[in-house]
Amino acid sequence: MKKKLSFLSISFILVLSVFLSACGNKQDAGSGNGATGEPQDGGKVTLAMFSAPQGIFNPVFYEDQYDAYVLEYTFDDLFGYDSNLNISTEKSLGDSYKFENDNKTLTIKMKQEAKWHDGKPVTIDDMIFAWEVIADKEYTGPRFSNISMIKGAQEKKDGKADKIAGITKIDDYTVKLELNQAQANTISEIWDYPLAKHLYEGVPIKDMPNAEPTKKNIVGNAEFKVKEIKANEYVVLERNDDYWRGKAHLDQIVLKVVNQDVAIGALKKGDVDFVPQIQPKEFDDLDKNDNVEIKEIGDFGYQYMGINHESTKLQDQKLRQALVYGIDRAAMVKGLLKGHGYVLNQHIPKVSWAYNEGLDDAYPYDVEKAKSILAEAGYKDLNGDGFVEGKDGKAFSLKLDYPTGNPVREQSAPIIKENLEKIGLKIDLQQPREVASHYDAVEQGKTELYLAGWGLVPDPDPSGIFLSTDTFNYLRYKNAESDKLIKAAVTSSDAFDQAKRKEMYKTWTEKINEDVPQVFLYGQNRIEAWNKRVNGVTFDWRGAIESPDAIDWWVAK
Amino acid sequence: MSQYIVRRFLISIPVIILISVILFSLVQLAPGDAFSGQFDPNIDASYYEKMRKDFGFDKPPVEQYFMWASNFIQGDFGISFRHKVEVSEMIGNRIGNTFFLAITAMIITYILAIPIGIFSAERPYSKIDYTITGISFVGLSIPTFYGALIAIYLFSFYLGWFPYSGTETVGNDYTGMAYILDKLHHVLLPAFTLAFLSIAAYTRYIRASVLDAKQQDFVRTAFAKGLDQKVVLRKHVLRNALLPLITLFGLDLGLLVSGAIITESIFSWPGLGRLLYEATINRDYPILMAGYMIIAIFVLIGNLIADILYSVADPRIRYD
Amino acid sequence: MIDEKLLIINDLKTAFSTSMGSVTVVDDVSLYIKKKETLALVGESGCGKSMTSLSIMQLLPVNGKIMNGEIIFNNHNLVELSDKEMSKVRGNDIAMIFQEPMTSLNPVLTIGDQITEGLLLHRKLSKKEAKDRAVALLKLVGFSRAVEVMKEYPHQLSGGMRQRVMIAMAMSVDPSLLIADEPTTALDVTIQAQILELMQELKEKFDTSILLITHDLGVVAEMADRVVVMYAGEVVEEADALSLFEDPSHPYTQGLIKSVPSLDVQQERLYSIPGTVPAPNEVTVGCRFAPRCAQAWERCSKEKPSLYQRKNGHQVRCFLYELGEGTNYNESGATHS
Repeated sequence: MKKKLSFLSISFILVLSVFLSACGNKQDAGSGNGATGEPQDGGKVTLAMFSAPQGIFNPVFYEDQYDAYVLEYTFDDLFGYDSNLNISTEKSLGDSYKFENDNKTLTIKMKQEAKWHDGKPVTIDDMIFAWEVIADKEYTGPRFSNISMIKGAQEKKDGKADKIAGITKIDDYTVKLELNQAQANTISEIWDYPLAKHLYEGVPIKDMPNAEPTKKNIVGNAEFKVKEIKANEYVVLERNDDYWRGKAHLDQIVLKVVNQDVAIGALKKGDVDFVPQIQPKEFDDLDKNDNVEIKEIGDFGYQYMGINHESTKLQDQKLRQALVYGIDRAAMVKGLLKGHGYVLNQHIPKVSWAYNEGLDDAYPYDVEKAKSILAEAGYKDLNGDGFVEGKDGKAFSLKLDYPTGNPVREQSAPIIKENLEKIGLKIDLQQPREVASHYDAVEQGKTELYLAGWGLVPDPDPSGIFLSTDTFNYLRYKNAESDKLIKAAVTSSDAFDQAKRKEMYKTWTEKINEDVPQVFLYGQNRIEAWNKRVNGVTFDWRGAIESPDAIDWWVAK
Repeated sequence: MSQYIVRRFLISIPVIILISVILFSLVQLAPGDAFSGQFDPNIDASYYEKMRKDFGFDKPPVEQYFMWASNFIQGDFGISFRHKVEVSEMIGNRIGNTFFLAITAMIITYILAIPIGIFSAERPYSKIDYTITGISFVGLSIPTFYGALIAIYLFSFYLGWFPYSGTETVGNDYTGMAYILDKLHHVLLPAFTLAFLSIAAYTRYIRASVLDAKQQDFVRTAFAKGLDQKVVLRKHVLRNALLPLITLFGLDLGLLVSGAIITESIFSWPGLGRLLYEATINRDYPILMAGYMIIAIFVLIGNLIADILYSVADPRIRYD
Repeated sequence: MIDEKLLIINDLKTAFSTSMGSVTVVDDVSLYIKKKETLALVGESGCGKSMTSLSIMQLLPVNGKIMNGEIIFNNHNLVELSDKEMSKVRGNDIAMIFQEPMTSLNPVLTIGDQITEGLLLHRKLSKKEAKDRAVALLKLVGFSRAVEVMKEYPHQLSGGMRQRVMIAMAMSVDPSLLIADEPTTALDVTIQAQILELMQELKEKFDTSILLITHDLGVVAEMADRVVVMYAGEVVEEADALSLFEDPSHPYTQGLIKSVPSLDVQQERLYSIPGTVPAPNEVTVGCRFAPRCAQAWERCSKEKPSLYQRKNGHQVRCFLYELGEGTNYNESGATHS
């Protein structure tokens, strides 16, 4: 009797496995067209979103990553970036900008051809309206830091003024701004998405995020417009035939919520055309697939091991240096990321113009060197148990905390422990916590070593994280020299010269590299895949999905 | 009977209050709050401070509870900390979907498990009975996550019979029957996956219940009266054997709704389960409180309905 | 006509298949019931009397089977009937009531529903006619509130009342034979008397024969015309009621009668037959009662006695009566080869 049971159960499972492996190999749908050939008009492309957007489809009010996907194709801003991360207005609403008066006055000019999807022109009034709304004390969104540099913005926020004093409208497409200080990255920082005044004027500011133009009848100004929103399921975009840059080839872009584990299967089947955020382990399989194009590029984020500088254990610079020498970061990239990443030694992404190539070879994995640095610093193994004791001769160990939510990062924790124990440091690996609890512990200074990551933006300025006064400086790293360098790279007049600014960042990255405020681990590559039937796809530092070139995508009939 | 209902209703009130207190305490006890780990260094830190203050995080928990409670009673579920959207709006969209999924799963369970269970009980210890038992055990052991993926790969990608995401076809403009059919087409696979575990459990349960009922003396009496197999089964055995199902029904609805989390996730089914899971990670307690309170209320209602149904179906149970 | 036999059982052998092999519980049992007569089937628990009655009704449990024999009723051999044909007999020509009134009725159906069930099945009556007849029957069995009772449920009635309902159910179809398996065992003594009285009344009124299965000799004395005594699956004595009590022949019967406590004679200790009933799967050589019999001698444990005739249809399965009337053997007894 028992034999029968298990036989039947096993055969059932075997049958299932056969099906699974069979569909793994089944090549389906979407005969890939070569990238050559004339673009054709028409057709539709489907993007996978792993989670549902919140439905706040306006740049001024949104906060969710997936809302941003929709905004990508429907709203334009004044300033964009080119493939080298230089500011460019070619594909944006801006026309030109000029700094004067010791870089304290900024004059911005807009293009005149752009229209909102309802036909009304996009003018400087809309841009000014956006700034005024953000500075309003009733505004509930997070964008104030993007206008705080305008003189008078803070006063309005504090309720002391009705309007931002530093804004002067010159004509319907030009505005002059007085700034609080000269800042080289003003254009990167400043809020540059206009807000349709004719739609929002008269709506109480605190109601704007939930107003009709934000949630139901979206009026954007870019190459696609919102056709249909099915909350929590999909958004259908259709081509804007009146777009000032020209007509897109595609008729529609559909953004569909698809579970991350299922998305790749859907891509192979041809049901979905674009999948972002592909995991490194999927790379090879998709690469072999004839219908799928997969590309990768160094991402704008990296993982690091944070150091709590308020802990007495981690005050010695040599100890911190030993940490970096003692972790085999190249092996992590090879082993955990399957080579789809790179070792990092600075808070600037590889693709940035500010990236310091000179640091590429810093801190190679060197067990002997790490050990000798430790010994130099006074950490010796006195009792022969394989672990060094503290300078006071007592037992010495370091706690390592890490969060869940990133499988590769979770796997790196025990590897780090192993690496460091090999150079003689006892590591006390804690149980992983989920993100909120983890960061709560970090914020409260309860950790010693901890794993975390940062996402970066095109402008290399590290303020917000590395300044001694920053709230988000969880490292509690206080270095006056570093602060000075950081500030100078933004506010000094030299900073306005990109080549000179690059030099300043070179100095800064090298300085802190020596001091080891944190152990930079690795940058993970951004990997995206799409069906070969989609042509004209540009894949640069933004990936394919967030590129401004959706207007060029086309599919063969 | 109506007295009974009123009494049950009144008892439910302190139960619900207690549930709300427990829920609230659990959320508060978890380390971190809605804004921990949710930082963007390009945003001024004071923004998060302001948010924390606006939502009353600096107030003592008891005060926060009463703030929440007084709003809740008036129908104001508050605003999601993370998403700044009205909770009632976030839940409203999704709750219908979850119930649709849960009820379809229940119907599928009943349609399949009852006949299979009876079938099994009619020929106990036979080859086919063992086969069904074996499959039931497999069903009970497969983790939902895995089962859902298998279902998608098999029935959606490989066979192409069912869609794998959403409640409707993208961009459709169906009306009437076509619309209903489209929705059914979309719900069937996730409902079946969700039901699989229930079907396995119910089949075993019904089999045991029917086998037990068949041993009863009154079944022998029925045969002694000259009634045939079919009539005895339907009128005498089943009416007794299926009574316990009514009790299960009350519990099941609540279980299904919360158990649908994983299924909803894999199938990108826009339901309450997924929302609550994310809200838990995000410490978004307005959503959590509203969501779980709704589930609790439905479980209580489900139980009440089950008890009432039971008294209708079983004459031995009467509430006076 | 009075002497006409209603039911004849010849050499019935019923066995169960168990994990320990086939176990015979009714071993070559033959008996008959005449029209309008009450036959009592007596014996201890496990002697096979219930199984005999279930064999008649073809209601044996799942692993039981009639291995041999015939049961003649209405010119048919019930053993050979198909299930469909048999279900026309059950609850129609032959009705049965059981020992446990508390559990023999379906708890979720009304009394009225359960009484009319048989009627609607076997007679072509309309619902109303069946209902009326059910009410009449309920009145007949002693319910004054018959109409209300129709709508009530079993749990609302006492044990005695439920047994009355069972009787009403059984009699509703006017059966020629009523099999009553320990109908009063689970009831109080006072109720017991009422039920028995009722059964007697109905028997007279409907001209029904009764096969009364019991282990209670008091009941036998009240009700039976004839008695069959069973032991370990076999018939060991058969006689009319009077003869059985006046002249119990088989040592087992004698033991049974002796075991009944008497109000007249002062007894220090209650008498019980020494030893225990053999287990059904025990294979015995010779007389099954021999191990417990005070009058047994060597032959008894080696050879099996047949049923020997005495006068007036009195039969005994004991060597003591091998040579017929008036001959008694004692231990040192007869020569044999």
